[in-house]
Amino acid sequence: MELLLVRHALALPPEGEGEEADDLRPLAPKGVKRFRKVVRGLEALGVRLDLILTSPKRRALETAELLSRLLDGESRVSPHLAASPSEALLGEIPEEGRVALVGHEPYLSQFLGWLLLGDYMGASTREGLGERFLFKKGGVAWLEGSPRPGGMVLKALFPPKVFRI
Amino acid sequence: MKDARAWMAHLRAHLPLALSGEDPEGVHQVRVAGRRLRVYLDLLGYRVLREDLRRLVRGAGRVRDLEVALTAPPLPEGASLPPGLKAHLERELAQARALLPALLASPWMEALLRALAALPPLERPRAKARLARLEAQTRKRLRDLRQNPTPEALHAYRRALRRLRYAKEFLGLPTKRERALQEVLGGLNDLEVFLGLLADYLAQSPEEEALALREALLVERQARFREALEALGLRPGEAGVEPAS
Repeated sequence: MELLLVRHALALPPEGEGEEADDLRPLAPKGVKRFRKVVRGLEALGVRLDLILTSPKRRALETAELLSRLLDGESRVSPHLAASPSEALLGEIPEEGRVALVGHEPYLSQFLGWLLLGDYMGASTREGLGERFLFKKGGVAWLEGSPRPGGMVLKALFPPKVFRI
Repeated sequence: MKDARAWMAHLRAHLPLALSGEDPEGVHQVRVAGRRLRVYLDLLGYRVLREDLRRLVRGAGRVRDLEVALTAPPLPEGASLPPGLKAHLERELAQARALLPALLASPWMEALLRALAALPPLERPRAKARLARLEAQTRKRLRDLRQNPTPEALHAYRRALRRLRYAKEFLGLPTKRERALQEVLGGLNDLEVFLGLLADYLAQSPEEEALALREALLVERQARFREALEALGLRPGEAGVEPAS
């Protein structure tokens, strides 16, 4: 299977404090404009999606909505994309097809490290592994393999700038 | 007039009642809120969350249909539920209810509520353009019904009409006509749902009393179908306007 990890596009700062204010942050107009180019770029690469899993935060939903232009299947909200990578998140990913996960940092790069390198350095290093991958807002990591720790290969890691050319 | 946040709050408020099963109103209101929020997504032009709400509406809908079938079955006057059918519906309801906690008390449900609370407000000009599309869809369903007057076409029209009503209500527009038509068509739909449940039962236990009930209800359906067509200004008997059996 193929997995696209997608960090939400550039968002506006929160109006207020706390998790609820953070949940309500919309994409910035510049974020929408730039991510549309990411979607067009992926489309030009022939990417079609069977499933989109998205975090429930508004900036992720709006990013997933833009990405849904590539969707042939279904989309689903996941509580596990607004939290540290977990077995529960792994359990939501099907064994086949091409799936996009729309979420946040630092969770996505931690998840990326976990999927690529597994636990061979110990689960306690999971957060540290994430720091090795630069995941820009609107960036996409494209993986292939089996969705389990250490079961995937990185095909590409696109900063959004790549698609602005 | 409730907006999306209010319907999300309505949904959240009815989850405990839906889970407890103490009052059939619980699952009913969960389903209503889910359907209304789906229309809000239409007005937003959103593709995401659509399947999540469909999953919610289907899960609650199964329980609701069975509860209506048991508490207010659309039976001919003086008739009662055959005991075998009643026992079958009760078993089905228990099974459907047993599935509800995995749906309504799940982390997914919490995430869905969180996502619904984060939906943006409607931009009126865009929402009105999308309303125009819903109106066009409803007109098309009515044309389809006129050309091919089957219970399925009527069902499709009724659903389009409901979506249109909810959309208008989100925009604060009058819905007197839609509500009046829904009233007429709702009774027929209850009958259709009941006939579907009865057919499932008969496939397992083709007992005489239930078969007789089915025959009586099919006659009733024919009459109500004609009434519904008349209410819509489609005269039964016209070329192309004859109820399918």
